[in-house]
Amino acid sequence: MMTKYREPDLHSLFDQANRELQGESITARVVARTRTRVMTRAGLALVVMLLFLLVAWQLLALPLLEFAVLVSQLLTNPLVDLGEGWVALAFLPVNNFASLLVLSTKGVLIAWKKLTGSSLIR
Amino acid sequence: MVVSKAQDYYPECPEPFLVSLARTGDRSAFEELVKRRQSRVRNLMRRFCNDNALADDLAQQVLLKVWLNLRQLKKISAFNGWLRKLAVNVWLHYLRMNDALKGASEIVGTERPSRESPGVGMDLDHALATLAPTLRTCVVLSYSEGMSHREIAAATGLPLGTVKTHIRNGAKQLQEVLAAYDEQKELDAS
Repeated sequence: MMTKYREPDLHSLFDQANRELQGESITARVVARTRTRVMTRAGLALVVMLLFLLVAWQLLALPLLEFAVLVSQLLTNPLVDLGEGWVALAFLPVNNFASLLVLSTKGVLIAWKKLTGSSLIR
Repeated sequence: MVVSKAQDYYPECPEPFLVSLARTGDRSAFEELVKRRQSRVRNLMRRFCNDNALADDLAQQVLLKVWLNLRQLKKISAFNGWLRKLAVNVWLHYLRMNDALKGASEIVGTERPSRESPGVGMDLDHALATLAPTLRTCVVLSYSEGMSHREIAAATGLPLGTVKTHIRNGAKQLQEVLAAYDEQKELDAS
């Protein structure tokens, strides 16, 4: 069947059909949905972060605590056995690994400053 | 002295400027962009699906995707084509999710009176609804959007030969349906 709609007619028909549509309500809906999406994403990120922290806490809390106890025990170990008398009591603040570390660090810093004239710590 | 906000000037701004502002997360610029583009996207969706409510819903999805993916747009000058591709993807996704054949049978022959559509648009949409979804998609992209066969093949993922055949057959079928409408109208008038 020969039709009266030729190719250019179809083009013009599509052009006529594409009229300008009022967009206030759809614009408002889209913008509102972008806000909701942003809030949802932020909420989701927060939940994921909390879950991650919770899992990390469950997995790592005990080993970390044990490690901290071990380190503190090591640092408070006496360097020299002075018994239990007043001498041991007097030297208690300096007779351990922690004090040795602090004093040696301080010594290195002072020596560095004396030798080079500049400080290691800015 | 009245101090104007930058947003007050957005309606007069050229589109590439708005696109670059929207890419940085400027919601007001995006809003202006939606105001300018919504009509075109909704018209395209109406040609695709012959259902104004569904078309508006799909258009909203497209515009939301624009907001979410705008940072991925490499060239601002390519915004028009990118937006069209997003619209086609949303439509194809809808077809896949809703079973193309089932959707076609629902649309074909269904009278969907719409107070919003004037005569030409309504006739055209009803005629388009008689085409199979893939044919309709190719015809609409070719005649409504003015896309080349190659562009349509790239957008739809169909082979170039298939696109050409779909457009030829679809246009022929559309012409026949529209001619039948006119004959019926002439008969009704006389």
